[in-house]
Amino acid sequence: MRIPLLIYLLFPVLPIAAQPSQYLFFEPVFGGKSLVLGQYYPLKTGDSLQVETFRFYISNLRLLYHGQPVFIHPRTHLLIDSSDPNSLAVGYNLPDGIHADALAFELGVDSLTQSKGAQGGDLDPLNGMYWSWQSGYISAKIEGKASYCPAKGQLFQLHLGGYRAPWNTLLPLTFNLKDPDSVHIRIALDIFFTYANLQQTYAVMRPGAEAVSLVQQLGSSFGIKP
Amino acid sequence: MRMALLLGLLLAMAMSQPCGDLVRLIYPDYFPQPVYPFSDNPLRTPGILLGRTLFYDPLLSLDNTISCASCHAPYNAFAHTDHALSHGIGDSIGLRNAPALINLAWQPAFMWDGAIHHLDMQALTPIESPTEMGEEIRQVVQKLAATPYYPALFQRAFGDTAITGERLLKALAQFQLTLVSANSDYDRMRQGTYTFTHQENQGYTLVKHHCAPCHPEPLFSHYGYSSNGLPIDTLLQDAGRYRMTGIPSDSLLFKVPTLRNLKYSYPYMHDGRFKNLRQVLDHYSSGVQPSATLKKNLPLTPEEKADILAFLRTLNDSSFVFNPDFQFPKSLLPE
Repeated sequence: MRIPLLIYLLFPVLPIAAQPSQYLFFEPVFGGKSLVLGQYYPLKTGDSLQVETFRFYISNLRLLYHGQPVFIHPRTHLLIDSSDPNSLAVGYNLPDGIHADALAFELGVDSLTQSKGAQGGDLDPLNGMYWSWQSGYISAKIEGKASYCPAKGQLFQLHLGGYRAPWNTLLPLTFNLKDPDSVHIRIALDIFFTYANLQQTYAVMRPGAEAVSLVQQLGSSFGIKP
Repeated sequence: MRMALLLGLLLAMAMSQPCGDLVRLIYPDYFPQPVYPFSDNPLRTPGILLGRTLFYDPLLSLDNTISCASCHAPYNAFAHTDHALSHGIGDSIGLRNAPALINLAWQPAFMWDGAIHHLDMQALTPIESPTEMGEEIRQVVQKLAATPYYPALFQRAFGDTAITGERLLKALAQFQLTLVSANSDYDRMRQGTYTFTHQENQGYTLVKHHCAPCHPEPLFSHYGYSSNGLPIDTLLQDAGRYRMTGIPSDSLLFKVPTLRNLKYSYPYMHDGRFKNLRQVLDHYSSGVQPSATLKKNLPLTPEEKADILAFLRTLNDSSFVFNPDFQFPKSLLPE
């Protein structure tokens, strides 16, 4: 009797942390197939490109019905990281009888959260998504090599962020849904790189017009897998 | 049974809660309310001690040679005496003068250009700057976890031995928040236990007239951004806040430092180009490059400069500089 009670008292969250019943999958893809980090992809131009790092924040993940939120994910900020398969599958438990016709979130971290001090979990600066020369979270970090990138070692480093006007990168995204129980979002990085001009813009590490534009392009490469 | 239940409850509380008595920041009633959000990071004795230990520990740097205190020494009012520009690992030299750390709970932004908006996040900059500590916070956390003493210090401060970036930064902020200087002759004058000399009074009047637009009492800074009237250093090419915002009108604006404890925090200005206060006053009376935030030289006679220097001496607080609670902690001494 004593031991189970003690365990229960020590870990009072255990009964709540049940297996999620639904998952939202994020799948970065290149040319229609799952992105493999470090693999070179041939491009139509004859060039080639590889991605070594692809990480981004999403905030306020929620399901909508007729434009009204019917479910809000309990974790307000989620770090999605290509190198961490666990982060690509976001679990949640939808209450019974919920009808949803759309999914919404913001790409990046909202300005209220940005203005706070040190935070933990997905927002811990240990994750390498907080700028150290200036306060602020990076919305999306995309690094790799491209044969047409003129930087040293053909390396491109896109650290896209900024939360103060006029360079606020927070990007609201909404997707229509057929089935809220199984949502699969694909991020077509090949489409992103046809917009991003790595010949001219290959090192972005501060808020500005380039970061705002690139985040919008990244957002437009998100889509629901049919 | 009851024993086990009580023990379990206590353990459960200890595991998730920061420990130790709350510490209230003590400051005079003529100070404004601090701007630091203490509700997000309440001061507690074990957290302050952990922060103080980290502050003095060179383990925070890439080659374990540079601590926060290397450039922010207590006897220099937590500035770096005699060094115009900050120092870092491998004898590297930074861009700016290491500022004195005084009354940080009242500062809304940090660094000479205001790049950092919160005291918690400030320590990240010197830790990761290649010309300061040159380390990654991720590595710092691993190094701390491998020591025999830090896990216990984190447990005492935060309830368990986990060492995270959040806890590291919050503990450093807790110690720095305690660096309150409010026990100078000026403060005693405000509290009615000291009477200014005639010259100090003359200087007080002059400072209120000429300096207060940027250096208002009782903190002796408005902590906004102003021109200091200095021409740009052609080698450093430091345009101040403009580097951060890219707004042309921010060119050559720097965060206004406090006038407290100047005796200990020389050299002066953002690049430490003046070794003594006489040079600073000479600059403000005859060397100012006019700008929107500092339009012309301050018309000061030699007698008035002497009066101002007499007043500035009343802002020195030796009890702050020699406070034993701020010095190198015993927790870092080998057992």
